[in-house]
Amino acid sequence: MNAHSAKPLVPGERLYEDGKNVRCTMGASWTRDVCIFLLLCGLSLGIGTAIDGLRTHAGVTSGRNTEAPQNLSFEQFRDRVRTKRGLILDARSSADFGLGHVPGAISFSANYIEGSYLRLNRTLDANKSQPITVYCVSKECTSAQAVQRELMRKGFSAVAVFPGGWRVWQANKMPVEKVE
Amino acid sequence: MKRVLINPWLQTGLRLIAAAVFIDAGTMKIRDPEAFAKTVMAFHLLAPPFVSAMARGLPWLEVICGALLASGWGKRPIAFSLLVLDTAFLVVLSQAAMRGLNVDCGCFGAEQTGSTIWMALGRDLLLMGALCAVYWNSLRSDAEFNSEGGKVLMLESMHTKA
Repeated sequence: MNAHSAKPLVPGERLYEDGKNVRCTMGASWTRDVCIFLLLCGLSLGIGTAIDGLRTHAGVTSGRNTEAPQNLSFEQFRDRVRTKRGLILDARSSADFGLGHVPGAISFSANYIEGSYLRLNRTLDANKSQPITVYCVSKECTSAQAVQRELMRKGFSAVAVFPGGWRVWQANKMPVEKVE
Repeated sequence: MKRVLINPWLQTGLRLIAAAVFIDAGTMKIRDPEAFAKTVMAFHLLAPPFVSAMARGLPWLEVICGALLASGWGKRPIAFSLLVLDTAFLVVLSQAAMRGLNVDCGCFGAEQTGSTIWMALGRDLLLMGALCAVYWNSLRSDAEFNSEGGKVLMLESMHTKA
Protein backbone atom coordinates (compact mmCIF):
# COMPACT_ATOMS: atom_id res chain seq x y z
CA MET A 1 0.00 0.00 0.00
CA ASN A 2 1.49 3.37 -0.89
CA ALA A 3 0.93 6.85 0.51
CA HIS A 4 -1.69 8.12 -1.95
CA SER A 5 -3.85 5.07 -1.38
CA ALA A 6 -5.32 6.21 1.96
CA LYS A 7 -8.11 8.23 0.33
CA PRO A 8 -11.45 7.05 1.71
CA LEU A 9 -14.06 5.85 -0.81
CA VAL A 10 -17.10 5.55 1.39
CA PRO A 11 -17.12 5.60 5.19
CA GLY A 12 -14.99 2.71 6.42
CA GLU A 13 -13.54 1.77 3.03
CA ARG A 14 -10.07 2.54 1.75
CA LEU A 15 -8.48 2.20 -1.67
CA TYR A 16 -5.06 0.65 -1.92
CA GLU A 17 -2.80 -0.95 -4.50
CA ASP A 18 -1.88 -4.58 -4.28
CA GLY A 19 0.76 -5.09 -7.00
CA LYS A 20 -0.99 -4.08 -10.21
CA ASN A 21 -4.53 -4.49 -8.89
CA VAL A 22 -6.62 -1.84 -7.29
CA ARG A 23 -8.48 -3.30 -4.35
CA CYS A 24 -10.77 -2.17 -1.66
CA THR A 25 -10.55 -3.16 2.01
CA MET A 26 -13.39 -4.98 3.70
CA GLY A 27 -14.27 -1.98 5.83
CA ALA A 28 -17.98 -1.71 6.53
CA SER A 29 -20.25 1.25 6.13
CA TRP A 30 -21.42 0.99 9.74
CA THR A 31 -23.48 4.13 9.58
CA ARG A 32 -25.69 2.71 6.84
CA ASP A 33 -26.22 -0.57 8.71
CA VAL A 34 -27.04 1.23 11.95
CA CYS A 35 -29.42 3.63 10.17
CA ILE A 36 -31.28 0.75 8.52
CA PHE A 37 -31.49 -1.05 11.89
CA LEU A 38 -32.95 2.06 13.56
CA LEU A 39 -35.39 2.53 10.68
CA LEU A 40 -36.56 -1.06 11.02
CA CYS A 41 -36.97 -0.59 14.81
CA GLY A 42 -39.17 2.47 14.22
CA LEU A 43 -41.17 0.71 11.52
CA SER A 44 -41.76 -2.34 13.74
CA LEU A 45 -42.84 -0.22 16.69
CA GLY A 46 -45.23 1.68 14.41
CA ILE A 47 -46.74 -1.52 13.00
CA GLY A 48 -46.98 -3.09 16.48
CA THR A 49 -48.69 -0.02 17.95
CA ALA A 50 -51.11 0.24 15.03
CA ILE A 51 -52.03 -3.46 15.25
CA ASP A 52 -52.44 -3.16 19.03
CA GLY A 53 -54.72 -0.15 18.51
CA LEU A 54 -56.80 -2.06 15.96
CA ARG A 55 -57.07 -5.02 18.32
CA THR A 56 -58.23 -2.75 21.14
CA HIS A 57 -60.70 -1.05 18.84
CA ALA A 58 -62.14 -4.29 17.55
CA GLY A 59 -61.97 -6.04 20.93
CA VAL A 60 -60.13 -8.97 19.41
CA THR A 61 -58.92 -10.60 22.58
CA SER A 62 -59.56 -14.02 23.93
CA GLY A 63 -61.87 -13.96 26.90
CA ARG A 64 -63.21 -10.57 25.93
CA ASN A 65 -66.03 -9.43 28.17
CA THR A 66 -69.10 -7.99 26.50
CA GLU A 67 -71.14 -7.25 29.61
CA ALA A 68 -72.41 -3.71 30.07
CA PRO A 69 -70.18 -1.53 32.28
CA GLN A 70 -71.45 -1.01 35.80
CA ASN A 71 -71.51 2.17 37.89
CA LEU A 72 -71.65 2.23 41.70
CA SER A 73 -73.43 4.77 43.88
CA PHE A 74 -71.58 6.33 46.80
CA GLU A 75 -73.30 3.96 49.28
CA GLN A 76 -72.43 0.88 47.24
CA PHE A 77 -68.84 2.02 46.93
CA ARG A 78 -68.60 2.81 50.66
CA ASP A 79 -69.90 -0.69 51.48
CA ARG A 80 -67.31 -2.28 49.22
CA VAL A 81 -64.54 -0.32 50.91
CA ARG A 82 -65.81 -1.11 54.42
CA THR A 83 -66.26 -4.84 53.76
CA LYS A 84 -63.02 -4.95 51.71
CA ARG A 85 -64.91 -6.68 48.93
CA GLY A 86 -62.76 -7.12 45.84
CA LEU A 87 -60.09 -4.71 44.62
CA ILE A 88 -60.30 -0.92 44.62
CA LEU A 89 -58.19 0.71 41.91
CA ASP A 90 -57.20 4.38 41.97
CA ALA A 91 -56.89 5.59 38.35
CA ARG A 92 -55.43 9.01 39.29
CA SER A 93 -51.73 9.77 38.94
CA SER A 94 -49.38 8.10 41.40
CA ALA A 95 -48.53 11.55 42.85
CA ASP A 96 -52.21 12.18 43.69
CA PHE A 97 -52.45 8.66 45.07
CA GLY A 98 -49.51 9.38 47.38
CA LEU A 99 -51.20 12.51 48.78
CA GLY A 100 -54.30 10.59 49.79
CA HIS A 101 -56.54 7.76 48.61
CA VAL A 102 -59.45 5.55 49.58
CA PRO A 103 -58.34 3.05 52.28
CA GLY A 104 -57.17 -0.22 50.74
CA ALA A 105 -57.04 1.19 47.19
CA ILE A 106 -54.20 0.25 44.84
CA SER A 107 -52.62 2.81 42.50
CA PHE A 108 -53.47 1.99 38.88
CA SER A 109 -52.50 5.11 36.99
CA ALA A 110 -54.49 5.53 33.79
CA ASN A 111 -51.46 7.30 32.25
CA TYR A 112 -49.76 3.91 31.93
CA ILE A 113 -52.57 1.38 31.83
CA GLU A 114 -50.37 -1.34 30.32
CA GLY A 115 -47.56 -0.63 32.79
CA SER A 116 -49.93 -0.59 35.76
CA TYR A 117 -51.47 -3.85 34.58
CA LEU A 118 -48.09 -5.51 34.19
CA ARG A 119 -47.12 -4.38 37.69
CA LEU A 120 -50.28 -5.84 39.20
CA ASN A 121 -50.95 -8.76 36.87
CA ARG A 122 -50.36 -11.40 39.56
CA THR A 123 -52.89 -9.81 41.91
CA LEU A 124 -55.38 -9.18 39.15
CA ASP A 125 -55.04 -12.41 37.18
CA ALA A 126 -55.44 -14.54 40.33
CA ASN A 127 -59.20 -14.24 39.92
CA LYS A 128 -60.64 -12.59 36.84
CA SER A 129 -64.17 -12.64 38.24
CA GLN A 130 -63.36 -10.84 41.50
CA PRO A 131 -65.21 -7.53 41.94
CA ILE A 132 -63.02 -4.58 40.91
CA THR A 133 -63.98 -0.95 41.50
CA VAL A 134 -62.18 1.90 39.75
CA TYR A 135 -62.35 5.55 40.67
CA CYS A 136 -60.59 8.73 39.58
CA VAL A 137 -60.95 12.41 40.53
CA SER A 138 -64.60 13.18 39.82
CA LYS A 139 -67.54 12.66 37.47
CA GLU A 140 -65.78 14.73 34.81
CA CYS A 141 -62.68 12.57 34.66
CA THR A 142 -62.69 9.67 32.19
CA SER A 143 -59.63 7.76 33.46
CA ALA A 144 -61.72 5.32 35.51
CA GLN A 145 -63.81 4.45 32.45
CA ALA A 146 -60.63 3.96 30.39
CA VAL A 147 -59.24 1.54 33.00
CA GLN A 148 -62.62 -0.22 33.21
CA ARG A 149 -62.75 -0.66 29.42
CA GLU A 150 -59.21 -2.00 29.28
CA LEU A 151 -59.74 -4.48 32.12
CA MET A 152 -63.00 -5.72 30.59
CA ARG A 153 -61.17 -6.15 27.30
CA LYS A 154 -58.65 -8.29 29.13
CA GLY A 155 -61.43 -10.58 30.32
CA PHE A 156 -62.27 -9.25 33.80
CA SER A 157 -65.98 -9.78 34.32
CA ALA A 158 -66.90 -7.59 37.29
CA VAL A 159 -65.31 -4.18 36.80
CA ALA A 160 -67.36 -1.28 38.15
CA VAL A 161 -66.70 2.45 38.27
CA PHE A 162 -67.46 4.81 41.13
CA PRO A 163 -68.20 7.93 39.07
CA GLY A 164 -68.21 10.36 42.01
CA GLY A 165 -64.57 9.56 42.57
CA TRP A 166 -62.18 11.14 45.03
CA ARG A 167 -64.15 14.42 45.34
CA VAL A 168 -67.36 12.73 46.50
CA TRP A 169 -65.37 10.51 48.87
CA GLN A 170 -63.74 13.56 50.46
CA ALA A 171 -66.96 15.62 50.47
CA ASN A 172 -68.57 12.89 52.59
CA LYS A 173 -65.66 13.15 55.05
CA MET A 174 -64.70 9.51 54.62
CA PRO A 175 -61.41 8.10 55.97
CA VAL A 176 -58.31 8.75 53.87
CA GLU A 177 -55.11 6.74 53.63
CA LYS A 178 -51.77 8.29 52.71
CA VAL A 179 -48.52 6.80 51.49
CA GLU A 180 -45.90 7.14 54.24
CA MET B 1 -12.47 -22.93 6.13
CA LYS B 2 -12.92 -19.73 4.14
CA ARG B 3 -13.79 -21.74 1.03
CA VAL B 4 -16.43 -23.66 2.98
CA LEU B 5 -17.91 -20.50 4.44
CA ILE B 6 -18.28 -18.77 1.07
CA ASN B 7 -20.03 -21.77 -0.45
CA PRO B 8 -23.27 -20.31 -1.86
CA TRP B 9 -25.33 -23.35 -0.83
CA LEU B 10 -24.11 -23.15 2.74
CA GLN B 11 -24.70 -19.39 2.80
CA THR B 12 -28.27 -19.80 1.50
CA GLY B 13 -28.91 -22.58 4.01
CA LEU B 14 -27.63 -20.54 6.96
CA ARG B 15 -29.59 -17.50 5.82
CA LEU B 16 -32.86 -19.43 5.46
CA ILE B 17 -32.44 -21.24 8.80
CA ALA B 18 -31.75 -17.99 10.66
CA ALA B 19 -34.68 -16.32 8.88
CA ALA B 20 -37.04 -19.19 9.75
CA VAL B 21 -36.05 -19.06 13.44
CA PHE B 22 -36.70 -15.30 13.67
CA ILE B 23 -39.99 -15.46 11.73
CA ASP B 24 -41.19 -18.32 13.95
CA ALA B 25 -40.15 -16.53 17.15
CA GLY B 26 -41.79 -13.28 16.02
CA THR B 27 -45.12 -14.79 14.97
CA MET B 28 -45.42 -16.75 18.24
CA LYS B 29 -44.96 -13.49 20.16
CA ILE B 30 -47.38 -11.54 17.95
CA ARG B 31 -50.15 -14.07 18.78
CA ASP B 32 -50.07 -13.16 22.47
CA PRO B 33 -48.37 -9.79 23.11
CA GLU B 34 -49.63 -9.63 26.71
CA ALA B 35 -48.01 -12.93 27.64
CA PHE B 36 -44.77 -11.77 25.97
CA ALA B 37 -44.91 -8.49 27.93
CA LYS B 38 -45.23 -10.49 31.16
CA THR B 39 -42.18 -12.56 30.18
CA VAL B 40 -40.14 -9.40 29.49
CA MET B 41 -41.31 -7.96 32.83
CA ALA B 42 -40.03 -11.07 34.63
CA PHE B 43 -36.46 -10.20 33.61
CA HIS B 44 -36.66 -7.00 35.72
CA LEU B 45 -34.65 -4.98 33.22
CA LEU B 46 -37.08 -2.41 31.80
CA ALA B 47 -39.61 0.02 33.24
CA PRO B 48 -43.28 -0.81 32.44
CA PRO B 49 -43.74 1.81 29.65
CA PHE B 50 -40.67 0.43 27.85
CA VAL B 51 -41.86 -3.14 28.37
CA SER B 52 -45.13 -2.49 26.53
CA ALA B 53 -43.26 -0.68 23.71
CA MET B 54 -40.88 -3.62 23.40
CA ALA B 55 -43.73 -6.15 23.47
CA ARG B 56 -45.36 -4.31 20.58
CA GLY B 57 -42.29 -3.66 18.42
CA LEU B 58 -39.84 -6.53 18.93
CA PRO B 59 -41.98 -9.35 17.44
CA TRP B 60 -42.59 -7.31 14.27
CA LEU B 61 -38.91 -6.44 14.03
CA GLU B 62 -38.07 -10.16 14.15
CA VAL B 63 -40.66 -11.02 11.50
CA ILE B 64 -39.69 -8.16 9.15
CA CYS B 65 -35.95 -8.84 9.45
CA GLY B 66 -36.51 -12.59 9.08
CA ALA B 67 -38.61 -12.09 5.93
CA LEU B 68 -36.06 -9.68 4.43
CA LEU B 69 -33.18 -12.02 5.24
CA ALA B 70 -35.02 -14.92 3.59
CA SER B 71 -35.75 -12.79 0.52
CA GLY B 72 -32.06 -11.93 0.23
CA TRP B 73 -32.74 -8.20 0.00
CA GLY B 74 -30.17 -6.05 1.81
CA LYS B 75 -28.39 -9.03 3.32
CA ARG B 76 -25.70 -6.97 5.03
CA PRO B 77 -27.82 -4.47 6.98
CA ILE B 78 -30.44 -7.11 7.78
CA ALA B 79 -27.82 -9.58 9.05
CA PHE B 80 -26.34 -6.69 11.07
CA SER B 81 -29.77 -5.89 12.57
CA LEU B 82 -30.34 -9.52 13.52
CA LEU B 83 -26.84 -9.72 15.01
CA VAL B 84 -27.65 -6.70 17.20
CA LEU B 85 -30.91 -8.38 18.30
CA ASP B 86 -29.19 -11.69 18.97
CA THR B 87 -26.46 -9.97 21.00
CA ALA B 88 -29.12 -8.20 23.07
CA PHE B 89 -30.87 -11.55 23.70
CA LEU B 90 -27.56 -13.11 24.75
CA VAL B 91 -26.86 -10.25 27.19
CA VAL B 92 -30.35 -10.44 28.71
CA LEU B 93 -30.27 -14.24 29.05
CA SER B 94 -26.73 -14.22 30.46
CA GLN B 95 -27.58 -11.69 33.16
CA ALA B 96 -30.71 -13.70 34.05
CA ALA B 97 -28.63 -16.89 34.28
CA MET B 98 -25.99 -15.15 36.42
CA ARG B 99 -28.62 -13.67 38.74
CA GLY B 100 -30.20 -17.09 39.07
CA LEU B 101 -33.61 -15.86 37.88
CA ASN B 102 -36.08 -18.69 37.45
CA VAL B 103 -37.80 -17.27 34.37
CA ASP B 104 -39.05 -18.66 31.12
CA CYS B 105 -36.96 -17.58 28.12
CA GLY B 106 -40.03 -16.45 26.17
CA CYS B 107 -38.00 -16.60 22.96
CA PHE B 108 -40.84 -18.25 21.05
CA GLY B 109 -43.73 -16.64 22.93
CA ALA B 110 -45.51 -17.89 26.01
CA GLU B 111 -46.79 -21.08 24.39
CA GLN B 112 -43.32 -22.58 24.15
CA THR B 113 -42.18 -23.73 27.56
CA GLY B 114 -39.73 -26.29 28.83
CA SER B 115 -36.50 -24.82 27.47
CA THR B 116 -34.10 -23.60 30.13
CA ILE B 117 -32.12 -20.38 29.94
CA TRP B 118 -28.97 -22.39 29.22
CA MET B 119 -30.62 -24.09 26.25
CA ALA B 120 -31.78 -20.69 24.98
CA LEU B 121 -28.23 -19.36 25.38
CA GLY B 122 -26.84 -22.28 23.36
CA ARG B 123 -29.44 -21.73 20.63
CA ASP B 124 -28.64 -18.01 20.50
CA LEU B 125 -24.92 -18.74 20.20
CA LEU B 126 -25.55 -21.09 17.25
CA LEU B 127 -27.78 -18.47 15.65
CA MET B 128 -25.10 -15.87 16.18
CA GLY B 129 -22.56 -18.10 14.43
CA ALA B 130 -24.85 -18.44 11.41
CA LEU B 131 -25.55 -14.69 11.31
CA CYS B 132 -21.83 -13.87 11.62
CA ALA B 133 -21.12 -16.12 8.63
CA VAL B 134 -23.86 -14.44 6.56
CA TYR B 135 -22.72 -10.96 7.60
CA TRP B 136 -19.06 -11.70 6.90
CA ASN B 137 -19.90 -13.11 3.46
CA SER B 138 -22.03 -10.07 2.57
CA LEU B 139 -19.18 -7.77 3.67
CA ARG B 140 -16.81 -9.74 1.48
CA SER B 141 -19.18 -9.62 -1.51
CA ASP B 142 -19.62 -5.85 -1.09
CA ALA B 143 -15.85 -5.36 -1.02
CA GLU B 144 -15.35 -7.46 -4.18
CA PHE B 145 -18.10 -5.55 -5.92
CA ASN B 146 -16.48 -2.26 -4.98
CA SER B 147 -13.04 -3.36 -6.16
CA GLU B 148 -14.37 -4.37 -9.58
CA GLY B 149 -17.19 -1.89 -9.97
CA GLY B 150 -17.13 1.45 -11.70
CA LYS B 151 -16.99 3.47 -8.53
CA VAL B 152 -13.54 2.32 -7.49
CA LEU B 153 -12.02 2.40 -10.97
CA MET B 154 -13.30 5.93 -11.50
CA LEU B 155 -11.83 7.07 -8.23
CA GLU B 156 -8.60 5.31 -9.05
CA SER B 157 -8.34 7.03 -12.48
CA MET B 158 -9.08 10.41 -10.90
CA HIS B 159 -6.37 9.63 -8.44
CA THR B 160 -3.87 8.74 -11.15
CA LYS B 161 -4.59 11.96 -13.02
CA ALA B 162 -3.98 13.96 -9.87
